[in-house]
Amino acid sequence: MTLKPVSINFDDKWRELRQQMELIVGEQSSEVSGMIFHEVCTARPTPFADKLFREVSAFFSRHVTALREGILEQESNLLPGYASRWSTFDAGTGYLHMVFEFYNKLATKHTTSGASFQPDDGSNTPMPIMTLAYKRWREHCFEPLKTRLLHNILSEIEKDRNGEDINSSVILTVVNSLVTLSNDPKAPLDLYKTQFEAPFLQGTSSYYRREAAAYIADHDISAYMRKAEAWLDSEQLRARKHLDSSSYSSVIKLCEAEIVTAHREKIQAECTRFIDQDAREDLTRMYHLLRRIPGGIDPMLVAFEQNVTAAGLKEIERLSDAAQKPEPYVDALLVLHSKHNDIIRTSFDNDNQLIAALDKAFRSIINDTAKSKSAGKAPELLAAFCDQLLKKSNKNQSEAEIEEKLQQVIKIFKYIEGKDIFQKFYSKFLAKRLIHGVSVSDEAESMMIAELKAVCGYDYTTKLQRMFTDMTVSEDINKTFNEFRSNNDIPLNIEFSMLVLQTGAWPLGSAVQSPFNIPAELEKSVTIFEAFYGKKYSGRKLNWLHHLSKGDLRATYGSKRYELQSTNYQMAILLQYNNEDVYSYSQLRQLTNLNDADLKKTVKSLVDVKLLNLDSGAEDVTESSLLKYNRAFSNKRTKIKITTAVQAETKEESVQTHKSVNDDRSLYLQAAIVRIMKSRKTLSHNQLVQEVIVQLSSRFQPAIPMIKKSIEGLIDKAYLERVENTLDKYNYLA
Amino acid sequence: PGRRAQQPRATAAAAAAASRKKSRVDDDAPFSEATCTAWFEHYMSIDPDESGKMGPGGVEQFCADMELAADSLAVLVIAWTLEAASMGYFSSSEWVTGMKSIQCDSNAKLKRALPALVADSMTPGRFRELYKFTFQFARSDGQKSLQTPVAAALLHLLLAEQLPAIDSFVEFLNETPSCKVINRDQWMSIYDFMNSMDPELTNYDETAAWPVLLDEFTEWIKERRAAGLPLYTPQNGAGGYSERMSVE
Repeated sequence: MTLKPVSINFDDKWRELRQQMELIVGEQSSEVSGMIFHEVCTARPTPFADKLFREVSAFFSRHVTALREGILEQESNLLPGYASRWSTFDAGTGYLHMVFEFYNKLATKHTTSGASFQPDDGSNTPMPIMTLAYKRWREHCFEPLKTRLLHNILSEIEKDRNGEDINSSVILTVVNSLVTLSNDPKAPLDLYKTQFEAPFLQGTSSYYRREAAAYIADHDISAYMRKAEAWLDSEQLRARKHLDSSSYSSVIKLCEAEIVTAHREKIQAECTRFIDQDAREDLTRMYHLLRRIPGGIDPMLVAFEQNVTAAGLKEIERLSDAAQKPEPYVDALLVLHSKHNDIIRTSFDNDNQLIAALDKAFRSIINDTAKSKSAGKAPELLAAFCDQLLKKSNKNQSEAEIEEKLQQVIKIFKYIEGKDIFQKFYSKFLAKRLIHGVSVSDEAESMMIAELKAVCGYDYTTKLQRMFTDMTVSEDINKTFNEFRSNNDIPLNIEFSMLVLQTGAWPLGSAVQSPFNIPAELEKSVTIFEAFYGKKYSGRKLNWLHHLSKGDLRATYGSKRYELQSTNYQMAILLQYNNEDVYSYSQLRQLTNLNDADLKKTVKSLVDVKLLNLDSGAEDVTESSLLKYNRAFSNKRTKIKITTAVQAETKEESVQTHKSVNDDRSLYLQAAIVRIMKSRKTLSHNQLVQEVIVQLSSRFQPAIPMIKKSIEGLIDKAYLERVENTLDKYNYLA
Repeated sequence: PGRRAQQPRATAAAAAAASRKKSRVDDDAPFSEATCTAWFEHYMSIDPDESGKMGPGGVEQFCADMELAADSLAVLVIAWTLEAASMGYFSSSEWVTGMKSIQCDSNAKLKRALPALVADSMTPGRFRELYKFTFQFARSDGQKSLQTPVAAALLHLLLAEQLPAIDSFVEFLNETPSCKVINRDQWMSIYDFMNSMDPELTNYDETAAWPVLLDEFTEWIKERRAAGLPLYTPQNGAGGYSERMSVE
């Protein structure tokens, strides 16, 4: 073997070569040697390159024409015929292309160097085997057949859509031939796109336009959606079976347009009904269908929100008066919330937009101020609900249960606009729990405060936290006080403990206190403690809250000993009876110095529990009552808690609390405005209002007129001024 | 009258001017601070207050001599020209400095100067100054705000001619007893509001920075319109300066 040019006979060599090529493209694989090309192209005295190019080109023309004729012989079997011949041809060509590497190089060189070869027409330009072969296939096989091919493919696919069996692999082969034949690097897939994809998409569109319109005319939306889902799923699959991957998304988009977008309004119109009926499957399907198109689920969001709002208000209506009690109210809200949360989870893939719609609905239910029985009371009711959970009771809830309930309460809490109102009530309830020692556990209390802090920030819970600190500090003070007494040998003759509570942190100041004479038995402990405390913390002033204090008395009736748990007021009256058996009402007033409201209430509680007796025949405690010590007192229990009627007080207290919230609000507003203006110096009205709302959002939602009033107030006080010659700007005045 | 006889000569001259004799000689004489002071003292002596200011009685007499109603726009313009600190009083320095600035030392000269003075105060830029001045001038001693009835009367006096819609605002104030005083910011905003609104209030923007009082006013207008009531009732007469001056 030599690489030197040798003298050859072209015709002989070509004949030899042609036979081998025929075997290869006919898929009777054969060995072929690239050496022949070398010999032909470098032959002496004349290289036969040009001749070779012409012959190879003619070879492919002849071969493909023959194949086409073969296909047409069985026209009824057009697609399989085309497919099988293409596969063979494509594979053979690929092999040839590889083997004839030298030829390919030569062809490329010839073209680029513009050598002597003069093509008889443009199509005869020398080109690599693959390019040439595909070109010839396009010219002699695809072009003449394309109309028939396309028609057959489309009708096969329609058969498939109608549920008939078809040979998908044949279709895929034909379709892929178009992809392969579009080998123009400048316009990739050009043949596939123009000759196949465009008509195919058009056909798909009109198919579903027709089918969808017909189906929706005969079926309800529920059935239609099932069908739509099936259509879309199968079309997805069909695309994968028959098309080039570049077409998948276009097909589905078109189907969505015809199946979903075209009928969206009819589908959306059913949303409210499905929510009403809690038709989860339908909702899921609707969501998944509508989610495919832009803005598709928007009407669902609106419907969902309206539905939840209406359901909430209706439920509150149904509760009627019970809606003003914490437990039914909060429970109803929690049930409603978890139901719709569940719908969002199961049917709506936890879609954030739907969660936002639910939030919006709950905000309007909870902060509703117009319609419902509980209008504007949500913060108070929720705080009271927390109190019920956190107060020791005979309900026997486990710690875990309580904590879980509190977690749920936080969900509702987040929706409350009047978070400051909640805070006021919560701190009142907390104060009572702590002072009376009825808190269920420190852990539960701190957990709740941590949760509140997480939602509203550090400031929101500072006072609550300080109340806890006071409790701990008080414990220490009691301890050191007792040590101080035993070291200095100061007996008190009674057990004595106190809580020292900072005025600012505890919501105890608002109620007007009655004057009160401390019973002589307690006087010593009070004086000594005051002296002790004054020495330890000079400059602090102690203010005794007798109306919140209580004491246990031991009393002996006959042989039976009782322990009476009483308030300081009750104790003060009872202790008088160590001296006399009978006191008139006015004597008691003089001795205790209590005002009439408190004295009457206290005396009545002692009469009710039968420790004191009214004059025979007297019905109620009046200012002329005579109150006698009941020597014959007896009770099954030995530990007796003397209860006082407190009901009437709470309503008044709630009004008080609301009022103090309002006072606080205007302070917070003014402070916020000043703070903002101080840092911004000049601000437009709308910007200021926006910033104020943002700053205060964790506390309350200020009404615009309220903000404006505050701004006006600050202008009047010369903290702000309107910028000259503008109508909507403010300056901060340092 | 007994006291007047004891006044020095200059005062007698001023008194002569004031008693509507309209001496031509006096009118054409150049401004004299002495004449001006005498002129002041003439009225001051009628109702002097303890710090030597001309009191309400003197001012009233002055207005009568000038043939002006005490509550006329012209008097307000005079007070503004004198930069008077409070209603019903003029101090000697206010009077002399102010009158000097317009070169007047007699009623007759002032009468002649007045139409131009008033016309000047009606030009847009100047008028806002007059309006602003009116607020602090009309406040009672030690008060930050104007009593609403006083404010209402002044609003009508100042604005009825150029902004007739002010009368519906005045009516609104009359019907809103909860609004007891008008503060400075409200006072200035009323003027800007009335100037920037079209008569039907169609360009009212509830998100704008107007004081709440003006939002309430717009609400009130809306309600009235819904109830078919007239938007405002024009008051009798323009209540202005020109009418009264024509008496002369």
